[in-house]
Amino acid sequence: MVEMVVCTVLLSVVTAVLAPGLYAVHQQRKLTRYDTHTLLELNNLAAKATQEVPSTLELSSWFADRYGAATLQVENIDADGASAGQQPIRLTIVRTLAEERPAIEHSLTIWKTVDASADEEASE
Amino acid sequence: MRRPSSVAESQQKLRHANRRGALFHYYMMYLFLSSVLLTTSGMCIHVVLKADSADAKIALDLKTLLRLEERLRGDAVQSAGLETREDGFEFSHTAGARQFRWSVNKNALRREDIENGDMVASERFVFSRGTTFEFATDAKQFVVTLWEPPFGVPQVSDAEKSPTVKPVRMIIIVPDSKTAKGEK
Repeated sequence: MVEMVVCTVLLSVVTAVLAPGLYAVHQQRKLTRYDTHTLLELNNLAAKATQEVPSTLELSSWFADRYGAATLQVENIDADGASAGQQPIRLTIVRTLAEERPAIEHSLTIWKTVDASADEEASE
Repeated sequence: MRRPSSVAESQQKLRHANRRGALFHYYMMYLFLSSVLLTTSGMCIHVVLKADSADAKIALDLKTLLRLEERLRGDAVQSAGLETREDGFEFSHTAGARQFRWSVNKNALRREDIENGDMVASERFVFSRGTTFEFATDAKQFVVTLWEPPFGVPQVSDAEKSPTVKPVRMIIIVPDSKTAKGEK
């Protein structure tokens, strides 16, 4: 019976360490997937910005269905030395996970010329 | 024939009862507890190995997705035309004699770089079993959709997608000078 008790204690310790570890791995996996999908969506928005007015851009339905808490912000940037006829625009996807945690932000800056064709330079 | 005395008989029974491990139900209880402990240990090891395998598979899928997106957008930029076929699509290079032919084979996309009729390079993008692809074109956009299967459950047919299956879409812009022909 002594062996039983020792084994039970050891197993309990292992389980107590394993469960939070597995949960952390699962959360990290979800975040990695979100990062990849966000990068995809930012590139999609940059592609759409060549044909649409940037202020009218919205998150795609597939992204909004997956990550309902994510929002898109489009802002014009005042850049020093910007070439004539080009306007830098920052596209930012913000996702708030919980109130006590900071929001996750991913940004992509594109350069849109005034005559509605866009050159793109990514910065995150 | 002499019968053993009742006192001797009871003492013999007591000796048998006090002997350790002699009772069958004690033995069965010990066996049961041992098996529970061993089973729990095995399940812990199984969960750890399964989690590691799943993590590696998902990481590979995401890496392949990023690689696919980079290659698709790169081909679109240097192409002069886009044509969709039943099993895939094809970008024609601006130089004219070069094509980038994309074809679908179950859960994999294959890209062939063809120059003057000869294949000079090929590349495969393999996703999880059960992943399906859709292509759609309109005036200036070419949309590639990947339908990811629920974890561990491959789809039986494209027409019967479970509501838990979620798509991933890539929007490729076909510039003004290029024409998109065909629709899948």
